Amino acid sequence: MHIPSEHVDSDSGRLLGGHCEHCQLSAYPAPPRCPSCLGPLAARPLAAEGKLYSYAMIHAGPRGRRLPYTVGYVDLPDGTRLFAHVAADDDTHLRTDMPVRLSLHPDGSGYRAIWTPSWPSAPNKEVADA
Amino acid sequence: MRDVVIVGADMTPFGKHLDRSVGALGAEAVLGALKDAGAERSQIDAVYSGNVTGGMLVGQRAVRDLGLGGIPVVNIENACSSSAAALREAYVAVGSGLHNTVVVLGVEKLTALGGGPLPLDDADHEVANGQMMPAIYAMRARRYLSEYGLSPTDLAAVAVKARRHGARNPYAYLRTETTVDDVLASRPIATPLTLFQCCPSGDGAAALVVTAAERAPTFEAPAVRIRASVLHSGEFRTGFRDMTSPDITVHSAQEAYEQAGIGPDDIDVIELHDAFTIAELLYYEALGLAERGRAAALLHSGATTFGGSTVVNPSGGLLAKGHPIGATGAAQAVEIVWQLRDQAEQRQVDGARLGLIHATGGGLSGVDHGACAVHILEAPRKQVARG
Ligand SMILES: [Zn+2]
Repeated sequence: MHIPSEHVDSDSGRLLGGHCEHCQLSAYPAPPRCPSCLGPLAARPLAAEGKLYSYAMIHAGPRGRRLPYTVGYVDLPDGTRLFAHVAADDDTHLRTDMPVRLSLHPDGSGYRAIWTPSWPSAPNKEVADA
Repeated sequence: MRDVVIVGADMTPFGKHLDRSVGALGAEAVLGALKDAGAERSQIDAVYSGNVTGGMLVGQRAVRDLGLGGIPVVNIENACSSSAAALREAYVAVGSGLHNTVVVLGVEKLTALGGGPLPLDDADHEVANGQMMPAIYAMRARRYLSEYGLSPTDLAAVAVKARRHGARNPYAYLRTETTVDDVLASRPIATPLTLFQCCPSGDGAAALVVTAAERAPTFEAPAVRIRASVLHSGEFRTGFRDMTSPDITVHSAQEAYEQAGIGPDDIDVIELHDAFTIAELLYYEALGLAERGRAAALLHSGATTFGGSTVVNPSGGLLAKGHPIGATGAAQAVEIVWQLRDQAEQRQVDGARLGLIHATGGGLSGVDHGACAVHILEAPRKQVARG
């Protein structure tokens, strides 16, 4: 998926989420204000590793998008949940709760983000997303 | 709040109505409901119309040619819960005494969009990156299957039941039965969901006449009482969410049971929002019919088909009857009204006294669903023969 460059911390190369110090709440992408206390959110780099909560390979998708592609939700150690594109030619190699790792590739004005299973046995090939 | 009843119900068959406008479809359902009630147009104080994709003034377009004007006509968009939300507005208006008798309409013409998955708001981060409703349900399914050690055949069994029920319903879009093998062999949409596990969309309309219980004797049809009427929005969460427990349905159903003073065991018949096979299993649990993880066992036991303790989706549900989104909630209510009046013919649930309606949907990242409506309806009191 496409990530605008302002969502990436140039020092660490990690995604930038929004964090509320008061509520200990993080979110990506950062909402305009904390949904819990309505206070401001500070930008904070997010972990690049997480667990794949669930996933689905989409075979019939929105017009203009290359098929199939695999989406999922990744849970980070700090509790943030991300909508993710997952590298998978064949989703039978994926499992719920498997560890996944983010890779960001420069792409036009921003980055292309894809989460890859980090099991040694899992295939490491990436699918191009539209 | 005074007691509120439904005294008129009708719908068009669901399916492709290529030659009919959204207004014409709506008018047919409203006229049918007025006739069913034996209601004069002069008795109608307001119209609440649910629709999603039809554009401006759908309610007015439907009732203009019926000579209903000079009254409030309110157009309501709440995704898949649009006409269920309209029913709730009717309940509030009549129950509060603001109006005496009102019409509820749900109407949708999805063939006008040219088919395929429904377009969502692409300003939404997930939608802009390829999220779609079938994928959301597929992720719920994947997680549910893996947490409870189930397989896609358990999902397919939901579609088989839905199509078996739909085959008995002249108002259903899909009226042929299917098998587990055929469901699993239909083309993949978002794994593990295949085509036969996704509801067809289509066109259609459904309408109700809602009035105060004290006025029911002025109408011809037996009065079905609204025992509970609940509408909730989804709650935003940025972190972990258990996708196997649809929280908006859990808290809506809880409030509905409290309002009615009953529990899930008291319900005889349910029309629930089975937009995809997995939805029916998750909603068994969210509505309190089964413990967590036990929904597939409940389905396989036969408890939710004809002859079972709580018949779910006798109409065939969204999976067989179809899902013209704005019409769905009102059509669920029409089916339950017919069931409670003992008028559902080949798909009648014997002795149904209490029925529940559940309409939820709307894709919005960070919430379970955008909206959820739950209603509980009670059968008319039996006429006592006077000697
Ligand atoms: Zn906060």
